[in-house]
Amino acid sequence: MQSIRAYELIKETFLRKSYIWIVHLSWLGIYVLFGLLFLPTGEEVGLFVFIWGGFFLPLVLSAGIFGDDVASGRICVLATRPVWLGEFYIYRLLGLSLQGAVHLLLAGGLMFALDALLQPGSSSSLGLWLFSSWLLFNACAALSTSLSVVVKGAYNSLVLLLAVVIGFLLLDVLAGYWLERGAADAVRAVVRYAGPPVSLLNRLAKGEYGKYSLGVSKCDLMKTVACTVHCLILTTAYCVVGILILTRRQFSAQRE
Amino acid sequence: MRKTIYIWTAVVLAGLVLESWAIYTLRLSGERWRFKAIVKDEPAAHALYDRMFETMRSAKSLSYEYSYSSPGEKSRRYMIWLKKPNYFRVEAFSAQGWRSGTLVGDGNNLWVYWPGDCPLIDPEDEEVPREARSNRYMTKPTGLGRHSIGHVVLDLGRGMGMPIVDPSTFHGYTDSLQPYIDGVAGRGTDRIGREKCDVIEVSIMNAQRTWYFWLSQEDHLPRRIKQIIRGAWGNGVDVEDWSHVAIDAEIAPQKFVWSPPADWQRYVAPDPEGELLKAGEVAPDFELQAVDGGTIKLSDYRDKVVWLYVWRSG
Repeated sequence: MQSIRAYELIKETFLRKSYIWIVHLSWLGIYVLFGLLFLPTGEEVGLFVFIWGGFFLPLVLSAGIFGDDVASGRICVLATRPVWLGEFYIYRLLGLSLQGAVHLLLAGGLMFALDALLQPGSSSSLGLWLFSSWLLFNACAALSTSLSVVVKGAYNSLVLLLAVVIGFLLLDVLAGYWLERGAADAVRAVVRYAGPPVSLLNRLAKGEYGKYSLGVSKCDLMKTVACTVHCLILTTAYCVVGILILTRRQFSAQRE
Repeated sequence: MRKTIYIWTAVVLAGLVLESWAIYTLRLSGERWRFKAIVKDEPAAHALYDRMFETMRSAKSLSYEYSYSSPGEKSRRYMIWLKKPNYFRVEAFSAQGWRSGTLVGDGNNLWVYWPGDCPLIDPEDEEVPREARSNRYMTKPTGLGRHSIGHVVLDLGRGMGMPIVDPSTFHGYTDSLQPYIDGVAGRGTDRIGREKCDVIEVSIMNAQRTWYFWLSQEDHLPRRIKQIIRGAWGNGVDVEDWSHVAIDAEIAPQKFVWSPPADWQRYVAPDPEGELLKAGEVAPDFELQAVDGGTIKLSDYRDKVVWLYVWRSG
């Protein structure tokens, strides 16, 4: 029974809006266009997939994932079922994660095919970039889904995008120019470890935790594992926050 | 109920421990900051470094293969043969695996030849017909100990990297960075493939550059070299992996012989003298930013003697 419920809830994330497939197809088309127009190097391909697929895609896919249900009153109906609301959250996030994995695998396949046709050798480390993109996708999807519980409609993605951009810029400016060195490092550390793990995963993808680290790197595997563990724990922390808000919030039968 | 609480407490504690370990492992390391990367000299490690050069210089012949890679780029491969007194050969393979240029030193002259397109000809240059871009060669005299194979390797193909240790070291060449070494420190031992290696760290010019060498305990030659260059733009990392290293092995003399086939065309690099100002010519005016943020214009110093000193670090 639980597995059927899980399957249905996961499937729901693929079919909840008609534009989901349009988004996936157009995103894949954009990767191809990028490859054809710019004949990028391996690092440029990886970085583009990392930002476009790992950061922007989960924002679009998770837009209104709970906010629409809150606005329409459907969440009230869901809350009255003998099912823990947290399960809805967990399986919807799993559905998003699965979508991200399939999408990134397809993106990788397309870029490898382009590489073979146009510029052999330019996608050498794409595997690491795809893995990093998927970890970033999960973290951003969890953060956006948690925001969707409190932000009505589909504005959760917009709020997250603005918060990330403005937050990083402000903190970087503040930390860079107005704070003493020690305090600046502390602020950057908070952003680095508590915010979306963009810089950590960027390093992982570039190989800085392995062969191309800035040291003798006897701990290649450890840093890679540490980065993966940190991203998964961060994703879990974002989920826990979202689940706590979802399960404790009182939902009105009225449309918001 | 109590059991559930215990389980969840254990899960949360395990998560906190794992996260603490992850944050500690991922902390920004001292190597990122240049002043922390300067190493103090350790005699034992410096002796290993010197031994590497002694081994290269005292060998009668040396051959090896190395691959040169940077983050995000597929590696390029080189095969090198070196023989005393003044013979050498380098075959270069591009990132796509194709053979690009070949360099041959026959004792008196250096030959570089490209069966494919000559990388020194601009592909956009419409004055050179398509069919005239391939089967080209370049040559110049090369004195013993006065050639740098490392600098010529860059001409073998597009995207080729300069080797971290110049192969001309074998013939007595000393690269310009050696007098600026801050120190050499030991970094333990490691294995590259099946070979046990001593690892040393060399910092140069107040750690503007750092080299890591994995030196085989058997022949004292590198099996891996990592170069970190620190600049205002960030840090650049290059890695060289050596393999098939053979010292004092027999190398067929034909490896070091080449002459251009009749239908090949010589490539002559444009003479930079043609671009230089002649005595008595008026210099073009230019404007540069001064260190205090102001602007300096050459025309401000009209009728005065101006000494232009152009330099770069590294």
